[in-house]
Amino acid sequence: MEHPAPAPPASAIRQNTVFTPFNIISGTIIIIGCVLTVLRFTKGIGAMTNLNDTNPWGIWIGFDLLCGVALAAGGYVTCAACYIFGFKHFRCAVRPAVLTAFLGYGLVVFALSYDVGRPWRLPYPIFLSQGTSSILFEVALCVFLYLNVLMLEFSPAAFEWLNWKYARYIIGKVSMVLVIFGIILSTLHQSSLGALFLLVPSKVHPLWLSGYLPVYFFISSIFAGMSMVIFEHSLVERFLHHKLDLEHEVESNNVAMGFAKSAAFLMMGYIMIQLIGIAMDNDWKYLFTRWGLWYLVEIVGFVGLPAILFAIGFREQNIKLIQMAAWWTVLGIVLNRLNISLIAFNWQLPLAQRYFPSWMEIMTTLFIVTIGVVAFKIIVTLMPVLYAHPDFPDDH
Amino acid sequence: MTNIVSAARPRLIFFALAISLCLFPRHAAAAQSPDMFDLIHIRIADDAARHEMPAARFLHDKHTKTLTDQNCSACHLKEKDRFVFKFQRLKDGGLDGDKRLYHEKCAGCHEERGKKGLASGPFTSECRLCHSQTSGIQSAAQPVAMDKSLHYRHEISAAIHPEKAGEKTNCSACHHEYDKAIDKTLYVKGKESACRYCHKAALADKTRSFQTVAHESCLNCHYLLHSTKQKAGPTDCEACHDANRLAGIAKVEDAPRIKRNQPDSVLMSLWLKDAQLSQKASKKPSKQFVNPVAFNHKLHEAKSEHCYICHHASLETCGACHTRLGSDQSQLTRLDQAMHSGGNTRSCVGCHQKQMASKDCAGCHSQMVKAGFAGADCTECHSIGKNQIDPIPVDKAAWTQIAEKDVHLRTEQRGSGAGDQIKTSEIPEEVTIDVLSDQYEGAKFPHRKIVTILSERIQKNELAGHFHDGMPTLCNGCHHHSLDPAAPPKCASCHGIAPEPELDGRPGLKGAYHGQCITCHQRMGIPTPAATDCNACHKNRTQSAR
Amino acid sequence: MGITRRQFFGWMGAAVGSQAAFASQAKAAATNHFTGHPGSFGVLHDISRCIGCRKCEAACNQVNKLPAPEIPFDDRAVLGQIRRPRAEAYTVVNQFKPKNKPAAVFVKTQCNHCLEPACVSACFVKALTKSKTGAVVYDASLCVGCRYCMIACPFDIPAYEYDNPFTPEITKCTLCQPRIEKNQRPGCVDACPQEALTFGAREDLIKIAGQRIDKYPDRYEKHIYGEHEMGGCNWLYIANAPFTDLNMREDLGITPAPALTSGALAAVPVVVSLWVVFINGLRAISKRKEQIAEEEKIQAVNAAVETEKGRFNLEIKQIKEKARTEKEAAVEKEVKKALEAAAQTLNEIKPAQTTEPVKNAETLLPEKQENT
Repeated sequence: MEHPAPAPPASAIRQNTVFTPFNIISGTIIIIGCVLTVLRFTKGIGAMTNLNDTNPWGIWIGFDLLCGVALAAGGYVTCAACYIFGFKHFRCAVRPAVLTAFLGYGLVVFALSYDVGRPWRLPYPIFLSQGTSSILFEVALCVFLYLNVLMLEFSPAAFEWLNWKYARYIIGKVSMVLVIFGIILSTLHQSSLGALFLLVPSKVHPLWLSGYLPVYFFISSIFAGMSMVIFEHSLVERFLHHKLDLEHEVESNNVAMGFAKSAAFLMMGYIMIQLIGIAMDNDWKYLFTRWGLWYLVEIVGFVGLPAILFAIGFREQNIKLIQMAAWWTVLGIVLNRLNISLIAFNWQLPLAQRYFPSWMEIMTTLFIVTIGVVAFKIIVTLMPVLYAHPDFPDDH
Repeated sequence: MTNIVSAARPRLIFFALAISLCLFPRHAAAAQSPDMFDLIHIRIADDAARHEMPAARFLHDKHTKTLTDQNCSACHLKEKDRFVFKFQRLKDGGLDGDKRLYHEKCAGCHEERGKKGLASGPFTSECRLCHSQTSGIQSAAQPVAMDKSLHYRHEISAAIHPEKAGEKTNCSACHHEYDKAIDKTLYVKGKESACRYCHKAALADKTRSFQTVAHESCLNCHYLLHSTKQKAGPTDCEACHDANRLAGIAKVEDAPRIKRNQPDSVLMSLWLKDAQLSQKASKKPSKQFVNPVAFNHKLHEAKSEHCYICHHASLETCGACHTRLGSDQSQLTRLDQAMHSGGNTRSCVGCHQKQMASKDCAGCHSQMVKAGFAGADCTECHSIGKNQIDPIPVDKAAWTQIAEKDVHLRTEQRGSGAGDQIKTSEIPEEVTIDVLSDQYEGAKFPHRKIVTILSERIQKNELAGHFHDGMPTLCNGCHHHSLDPAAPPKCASCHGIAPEPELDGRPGLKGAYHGQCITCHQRMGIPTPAATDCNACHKNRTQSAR
Repeated sequence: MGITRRQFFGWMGAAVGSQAAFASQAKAAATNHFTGHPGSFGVLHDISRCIGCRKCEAACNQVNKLPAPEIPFDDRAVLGQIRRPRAEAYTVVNQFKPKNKPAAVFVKTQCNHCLEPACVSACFVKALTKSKTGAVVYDASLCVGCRYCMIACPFDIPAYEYDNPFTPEITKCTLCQPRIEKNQRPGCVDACPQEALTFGAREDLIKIAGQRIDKYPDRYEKHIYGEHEMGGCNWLYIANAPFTDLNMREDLGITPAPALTSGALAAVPVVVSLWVVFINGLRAISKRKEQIAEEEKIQAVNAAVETEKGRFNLEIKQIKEKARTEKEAAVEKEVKKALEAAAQTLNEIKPAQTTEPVKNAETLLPEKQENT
């Protein structure tokens, strides 16, 4: 008599590939987000935000737009490192960085459609009526062009997945132009987001306000991008390890090391130019106030400290320290952008007139970030981002 | 590898601690009331200007009331039984010496208290808590002035003794003159004057500053009396320097006139004396110079709180310093400027203008453009005709007589209603202003009542009575720029209905009506009708004819 | 890979083309001083005349057909709180009680219609424009609703219809542009009973304001607010209390707002041009370094190979030499041995013939023999 087939192990029955913790949480957020979207487009911005006439920009601009753009800078930084400065071993970091950047910018535009009063008119400044005296026009134009550039820069991965060989070949030919164009556009709009606040010196606290704001935003976007790449890889390593191929796995550590060293230098330089900005406007006296303390917390605690950690991590070849420094830097960038747009903005107003986001605004932001994470996961699972496509071995 | 991560953690904790320590400074900016009356700026005099820090800010009452219980000897030394109100020294010791003194004594005391856990001021290491330019404390201290009431109370006080026993008055207790020959201060009867004539704002040579002498003279005497349990003035800052407390000091209404041999009437003229002294045979008054002024000194004395308002540098005649072309003593202020300057209450015209800002007068006068010399009638004051001083009298008594006669005449005229009058029956009782009627009915304006009230208020005021000779002047208050105030033209003659902005400042008719009436009410402090109570003057129109 | 000539020209063309696109932004406002379109209109607000009756608010509401307010305009209790213009109220009157002033002071607040407005500079679709009449005009048909104008305005004036989901608009005083075009005055100016608002040409208003200050020096602050603030405004103020006590900022400076960002905008085409140069340059440098490294590597390898070869050949030669000599020696040795063996044999064969040992083995070699 034959034995019956052995029962599958209990763990295999329990393991549900649909209702994983990640899917449950992100799904819930997405459902709430959809409800909020309906609310936004039926009741208006006033029904779900704490925005008012004195505080017209909230975390949808402060976080979604400003932080989103700053943290999506990894795309151009990695491309520059790999293709312009010639660090060939960075090439495995390029695609994930470009994907992050593409999703980042895409979500920035997506978030704008919530914040802006008439999102269907977003193409107006580019195609209909160009307000060329406005820094915001410059931001809009560059973001629009850059989004297209990123889409094209990411398309090789998509084409490989779709096995469109000719398209893949054509794109490969123009990739260098795209990279150069991307770096130029990134420089322009990263710095212009800082220049937005040059128009309102009366509303930004003197310690954060400086004629050098565009330079600050640009430099900080570079090390923000680097830190995001390192940070992202630490997450990918933890949660999407199975998608990494050997080359990616090995080289990522070298990428992290390289970025750590550059970031340490850049952050020290950034602190230097911040000090020069204070000296330029003779704002030293503000350092001895409560605001000054907060400023020092941001500069010393969230730029100086991770810079030192990066340097130590590089010297000791300690990847864990570098990863910690990376997410600390990311927090610092978020803090810096939120400071300039929300916290140190309208700083002279009494507390009763200041802005704090409503839970629905925060939820919407969370929703947008979750979409980004989910999209990243899906794309990385399907397309050759973290591994080299076997049919296109040398084309990365 | 992990040992480096754990080594980084202490670094993080260190940073976190360092930052958090800064969050809680030892002295959180105390919630001071912003207006203090005892704020002293301590700045050691240094010719070489070697100061590195701003002046230190010191709250005197705060220390005396809580620590020393108004006992001056806790911080001040005595010289010849009188406190010298310098800090813990009789003489200045220069920048370095005094700086050390202040730091040791002030901060030292603070540190001692701090050690015992008591609330204390800043320590030596906390420089900027004393040497601060930006702390929230503001000084609201008002200067103290010896007004007539206060002076009288000191005059009759039995506790204040004259220098030499047996003197009838106790003036010598405070008043003295400096005799350069013997380098001493002596009391000279008949020469009592204000302290400020010699004691200026800052220390000069051996003459102490006014602030020093005022405090050392007044406070020492008060302190002495307090220590012998007698009733005396205060010894804390607030009691004198807080305007509210000052106002609360008991006032003697109608204090008798200070006896200083001051005249009742004065013939004021600079050239007359020169002319009298000159040896030229003809004593005819020169046609080149302005008529003298007959000045009612007694009246003006009664109206002023103290002599210092006019006699701001000495009790000599104005012309001694304010010569025709100005002199070094007057800082080149000429006599005509001294008498006629608009903004300064020391000058006749300036003080009169200040009076015009009072509630009784401001209704009309605040809306009038400040007149310059061009529109003025000089004979209002320069009323002594040349014929009255022809020939120029020889002795002073004659001059005084001329002045007195004129003053007497004016005083009588004021009450009698001389000058043009308009019969009450001729003043319209009610005027209806409905030229611009649109949303509202016409405004019914109680014309006669207002004129009568204004006229009565003016009669009570000597200044107004002098310059408003007769009713027509009053009419000009509202019916301005009229050729004949008794028969004024309609306002619409000059104020257009649909106004274009006039470069000469003329408002349109609506603005003219509302501005005239409302501004007058506001300046005179008349609460009703309220400016925004439209219906009080003109009722809503029920059917608007558009 | 190197740069081909075609690629080079392509990039240069792109750089020039993009520069041409951005060139219009490079006209910096910094060196021009705009004093207003000649004959442009403005309003002079004499704060000392305002009594806070709010008739101007009512008139504005009526002229612009705004919805009726919750609290009627004749309610003066609202003056207890400081208000700001909002979506349904283009203008508000506020009450202030400054120190050392016996009576309250009232100030009307609305768009100041700046000469070089920050909002016009900020708008990226040109929805806000400065017209020749002096009014700053809003075009709702272009507005995207980004609200950068609200951020930009140093006086915090533009308001937004946050509760309108589909057609939200920016709202602010329009200087009654339609009425001005019909030679009428703005609604608020007409309504004010005290003529606290005077409408006219801006140059005339400045003269009038100066005259009033001169005529009544005790009444007014010696400053015409709006003459120079933020480069000048078409709405001017004179007041009988310090402006800072009336919530009117005096720390805004005289730089017009567009001049604040014209520098940053002017940098854009420069960045585009220079970055093309720098990036290509960096790339070229790194490529060239790679190339040189490659060449040096090849050279080094070749050199190494050469020396190795030479040494190898020498060694081979030596070995061959050695082998040859050894071979010869061996051959010689063998020959000698063979001969000795032959001699030996011969000695053994021919002992009867002679007793003489064979001296010469060679003679034993087979010769041509006649007899057998």
